[in-house]
Amino acid sequence: MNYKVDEQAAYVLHSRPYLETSALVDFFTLEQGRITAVVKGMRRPGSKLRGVLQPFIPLQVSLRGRQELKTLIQAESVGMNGILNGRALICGLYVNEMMQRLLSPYDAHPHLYVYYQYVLNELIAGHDIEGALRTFEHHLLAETGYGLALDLVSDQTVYYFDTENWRFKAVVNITETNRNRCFHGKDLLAIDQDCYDTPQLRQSAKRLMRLAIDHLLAGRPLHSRALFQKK
Amino acid sequence: MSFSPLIQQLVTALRCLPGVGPKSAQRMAFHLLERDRNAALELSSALRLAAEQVSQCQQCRTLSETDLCQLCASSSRDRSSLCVLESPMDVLAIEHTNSFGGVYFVLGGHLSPIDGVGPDDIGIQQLLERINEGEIKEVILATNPTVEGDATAHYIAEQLKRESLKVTRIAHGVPVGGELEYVDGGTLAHALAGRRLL
Repeated sequence: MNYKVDEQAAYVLHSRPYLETSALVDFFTLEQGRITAVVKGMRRPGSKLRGVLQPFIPLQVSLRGRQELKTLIQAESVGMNGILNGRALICGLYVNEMMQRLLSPYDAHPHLYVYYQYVLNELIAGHDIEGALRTFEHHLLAETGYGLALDLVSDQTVYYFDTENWRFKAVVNITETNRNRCFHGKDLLAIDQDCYDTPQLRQSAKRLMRLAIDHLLAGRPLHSRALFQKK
Repeated sequence: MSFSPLIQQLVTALRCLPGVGPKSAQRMAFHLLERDRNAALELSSALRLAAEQVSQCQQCRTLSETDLCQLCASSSRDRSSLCVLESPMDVLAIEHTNSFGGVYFVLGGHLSPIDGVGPDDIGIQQLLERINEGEIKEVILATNPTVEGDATAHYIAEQLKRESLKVTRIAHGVPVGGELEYVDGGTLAHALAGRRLL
């Protein structure tokens, strides 16, 4: 079966060297989700694709191939929105690492593509990076089939996040052992609406997303988190 | 046709070099065996000596068979200025420009979270220790202008924020002799962001 993708909207998630002058590039495409393709000659000194196939640049790509590994035929950048710098760049790498680890190849996520564009725009603008990251994480979980049933909670109750069964259980006593996994119902309802107004709400949302994502990563932590720490 | 085991071994060994495929490796092997045995012996002894004796310079981590490389041992270099690079080949590239008289530090890679390369996997700790010695007044971060290179430069700059020293990043932009029409959007955006006052 011939596989043909023409001028599809995509972003580069990551690239790694392949043979002497080629590269294996992971794309996040609008209609096919995460795809890996060989880019022949990308690492040659004069290759024009080097500058184009960098993460966070909106692209249009054409791909071909019968096997799982495709070949890039053409790539063009389609309008830069800005450059990611400093802390926003590290946040961008964090988002890409999550996508790389949590998305299955060839699973289409067109809604997530829109949220990916949203988080990149927010990172470039630098207004509310934390809120944008929590919104993206929330929708990444939902899109990959691990949505949190946040709308079923009551605002007067405290809940324990049971990651094994992926549900929230009402708790009466918060103890030292379960404190890290307990959340106020009103916080969960606000997170469901992607409303991260107060510092306390942001802390809760960060803790919740971290618990959920760490559980899905099965004990293999995200390396980009180490880049936020100061030695 | 298959070669005798020793010739086959030589052909296979030569293929470890970049740019050398099966045909080139055969040509090289037959050239050395048929026409230039002395060069073959010289090559093998040079390879053995280099592989056994070349390690890293203790100060800048570039390749060197002595504890200190020529540049670090030289008394004519400006020791207050340190240029941080990804690989030993980058040292040669900067030296060719004759525009830098300071000393170098080779990280040996860049941070790449997706590949699992973190701060402890490249020479960042040794770099910070060297800067903490206090001799250095300016650190020039000359990692590659890629997302990972920029992230590495940002991480190092963040670690050095407490220090009273100048931390600079090499400029990115339009190549000399280039035409704007043919430059990709990312490079142009960087060139505009890094514009300077005339």
